[in-house]
Amino acid sequence: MGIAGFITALAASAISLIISFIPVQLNNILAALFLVILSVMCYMMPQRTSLKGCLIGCSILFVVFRFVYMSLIGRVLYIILAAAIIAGAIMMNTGSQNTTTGGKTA
Amino acid sequence: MILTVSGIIAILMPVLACILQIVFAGFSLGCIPSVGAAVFAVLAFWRKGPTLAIVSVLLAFVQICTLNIVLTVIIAVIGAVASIFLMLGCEKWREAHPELTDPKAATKHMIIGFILPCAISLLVMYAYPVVRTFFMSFFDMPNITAPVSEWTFAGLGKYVKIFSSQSFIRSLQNMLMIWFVGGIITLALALLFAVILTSGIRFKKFFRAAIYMPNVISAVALATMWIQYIFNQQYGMLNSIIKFFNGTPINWLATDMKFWAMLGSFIFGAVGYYMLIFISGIEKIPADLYEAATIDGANKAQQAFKITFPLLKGVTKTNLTFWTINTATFYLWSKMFSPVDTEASVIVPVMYLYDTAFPSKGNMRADAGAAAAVGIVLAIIILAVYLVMNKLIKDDDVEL
Repeated sequence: MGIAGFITALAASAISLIISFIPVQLNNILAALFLVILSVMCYMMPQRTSLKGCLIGCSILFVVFRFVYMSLIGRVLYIILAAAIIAGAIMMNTGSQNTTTGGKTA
Repeated sequence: MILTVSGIIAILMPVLACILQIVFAGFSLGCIPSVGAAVFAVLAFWRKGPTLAIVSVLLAFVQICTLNIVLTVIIAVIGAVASIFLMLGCEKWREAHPELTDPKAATKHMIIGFILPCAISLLVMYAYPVVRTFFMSFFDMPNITAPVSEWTFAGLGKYVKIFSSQSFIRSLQNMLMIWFVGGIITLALALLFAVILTSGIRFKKFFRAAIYMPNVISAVALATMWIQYIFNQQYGMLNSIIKFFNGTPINWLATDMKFWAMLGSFIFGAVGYYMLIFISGIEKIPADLYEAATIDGANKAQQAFKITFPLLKGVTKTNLTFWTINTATFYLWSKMFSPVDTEASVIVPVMYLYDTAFPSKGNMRADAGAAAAVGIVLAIIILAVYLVMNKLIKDDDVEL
């Protein structure tokens, strides 16, 4: 679960990073890069639930701020990517709980 | 160590980004989240709270998205990464010092932390305009946004001006009529419907929804509907009924009828809201009281007059206060019934205020000071009515 979640979140944030180059605007590129950094950190520190919360919050904010620039297809794509990042973060969290608490939640 | 270093960077970076942004490119939207990020970083560092640090990360992210100079965006990214490390540091610190983290104290500080942005915005958005309006009412100024340096002191001149204006006096009379006549009809109907709907009739939910429905519809649509479909002289419903009985059609929107037409349609829209408040009050009265009354031989009317109405005093007070505020801020219906030129028959204080602050005719001069004085007079009226009602109607709520 953990690795699958990480791959989902990383892939989605990497695709966000790639398409954030259209049009080239530093804010968007750095914001997308931040999502990639967060995904990697979530994988490196699986016991930190707050990090996944950060990732989810940032992915939603990313869609919110990119929304005005995008065409309809871009908006749909970003929403799908944000949904994938959120799903990835949740999967990573479930995976980490499985390994640390034997599947029990607090 | 990680906590201190990341904390300092997380606090300083957004501040730096904000300052550089303002110095080199002027104020931008990103400056607001920058300040927020710094404030939450301070709170997180002070309380060692990972949740506060998360808010700081999110605000820093907003800042990245909204700043617009290369340098400031890079600084913002550094701040955001530092905030993540601050969060990790806080969690580590909490793991190392479980005895020092009193959950109750943390909650209290968290409450302050989360309420603060809202409280500040409330002060800026509400308290400042109120204070400014109060001072504006004693000054003369070219327009509503004129800087303080252009204001000239007018003493009570603006108040004298509005009270010597025929239009303002007429608007106050109209407001009083709406408050008194409309209030009696609306609250009586609302109470009647509430009592009927709580007496155990069938299809209670349907009727409640049906009566509340006009509140869901936009007032503009509702007013248009009344003007076009009900009061229209040729095709309106009322005149169709009159014609059906071979009567002479009435011009419902003529000057002498307009006020009552407006009041009628306004009441139609308002009843449902007050009815819901009455229903909630009636449902709070314990059923034992009615059972005891029934055993003592009281009929339904006696129960209503001896139990329901006396125990609804508190709710009635609430409804009266809402009604007063509603009438004092009455504007839209008046505007809908005289859309082009404000007519004396339907003018209300807020409409007078608007026309004074933003005159639609070219030859009229905008008088922001007088408009502010109208606002202050309205506020005083609402406050006075509220205080009088508080004195007259004592709360006798049910004690359980």
